[in-house]
Amino acid sequence: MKNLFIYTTLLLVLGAGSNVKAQGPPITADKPIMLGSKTVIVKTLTEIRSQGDGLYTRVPLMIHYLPTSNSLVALHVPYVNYDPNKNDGNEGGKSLGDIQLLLKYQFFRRDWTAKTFRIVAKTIQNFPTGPEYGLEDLSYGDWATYTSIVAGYETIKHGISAELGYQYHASHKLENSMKAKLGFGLPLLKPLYPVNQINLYFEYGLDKSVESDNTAITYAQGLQYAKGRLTLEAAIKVPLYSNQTYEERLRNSIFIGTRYIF
Amino acid sequence: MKKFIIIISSLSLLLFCNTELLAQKDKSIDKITVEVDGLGCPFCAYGLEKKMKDLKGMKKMTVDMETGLVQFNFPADGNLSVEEINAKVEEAGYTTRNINIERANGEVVSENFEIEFEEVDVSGYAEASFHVNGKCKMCTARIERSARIMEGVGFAEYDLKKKVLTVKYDETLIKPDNISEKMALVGHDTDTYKASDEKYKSLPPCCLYKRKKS
Repeated sequence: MKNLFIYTTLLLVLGAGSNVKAQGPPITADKPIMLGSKTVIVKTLTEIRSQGDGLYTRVPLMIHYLPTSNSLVALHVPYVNYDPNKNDGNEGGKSLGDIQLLLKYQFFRRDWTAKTFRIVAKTIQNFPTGPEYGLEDLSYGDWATYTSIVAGYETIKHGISAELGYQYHASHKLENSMKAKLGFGLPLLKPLYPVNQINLYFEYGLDKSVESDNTAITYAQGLQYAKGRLTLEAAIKVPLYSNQTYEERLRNSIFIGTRYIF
Repeated sequence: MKKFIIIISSLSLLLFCNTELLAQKDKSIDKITVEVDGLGCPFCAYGLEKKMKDLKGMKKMTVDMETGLVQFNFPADGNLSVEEINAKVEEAGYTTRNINIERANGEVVSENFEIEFEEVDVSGYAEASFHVNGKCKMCTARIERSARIMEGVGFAEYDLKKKVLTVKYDETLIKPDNISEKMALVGHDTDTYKASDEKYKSLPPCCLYKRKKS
């Protein structure tokens, strides 16, 4: 794990020093850039998560709509599958997951030539339509509200996005937590329009319970290919640190996604 | 020989008609150049193109990601205004810096949307004037802004006809030579500094002034 961290840091340092170009949207993190009013984006981002107690799969259909240039409303409808370890005695299954309503509002924007800095307020309302897995971003089976601030500085030479948020569970069946994400994108091709991009992503995540010592730090490495209005992406997420129980502890997650801009 | 003359004459006539048609077509097209701030990635340009397409008749849009330069053609009879273009850039979520419309009839409409600078008390400041190459109102905006954002410069005014930049500056903070050097860095030759060829070529077409041979 230490080697992975060193390798990643080296890549970041080398990347920052090289002639890097523009990048696209982060894969597992978020960014505050919006693509203009009346735009519709249809996305999927399948996650196959392996952890102590089994294998979980989440296949969401995400429809994002921008009513204005600085606001976004989205609906995420996931299908989830749980395949437990045979000796645990848990029952697996497949069903509709938790439906989520996402709202974003960009309240700060500062533009320069080929660069921009923006901040958005973001909230996700989780509806308990899925099974009670109690799993982060997969299926809580519980009412939950996530509120965060996402900031991003993007130029055609560097791109950084950061998010700080709070997850609140009204039922108190699950622990409230603080979350943070940090993402870096390294484009491998010259910025051109229409889009023809291959991007490399480095994304870090922190999840810290405010009711216990439970903490998890993850690292995701992603690759993205964008041609015209279609984007294909894949990422792998691994834990850097976790003091969660064996059953809850992430082994790895694989993400495969597509997005199309209408 | 007779056949050869007929063929040559026909080809010449065709070429002449085609050239006339092209010239007529060119006369019916306005050429628009917009400098847009905030295009941090190629995806950003999608939102912009989508909004520009709302302007019915917009054709041949190109986006230079490195300079934020957006260029397109528009039917002259549409009489597209700078306000309409700026509104579309705003709807896309970006910031207009400059708009330049070269009308089919030869008229040039330019609008600078730069941020306004606060007035500075320049009493006690030194004054200097020097030659800076420029061609159009977009050049004027770029030259004045580039000088004005420098620390110690309280006033900058460019005379497009005389091609002279007048600045008022704090002598303890900056020298005219620094300002002259900055002009070259943004693409405008002065008597003492020459812009790099790369920077000069990156200027919008309407800004490509005639350079002295070095």
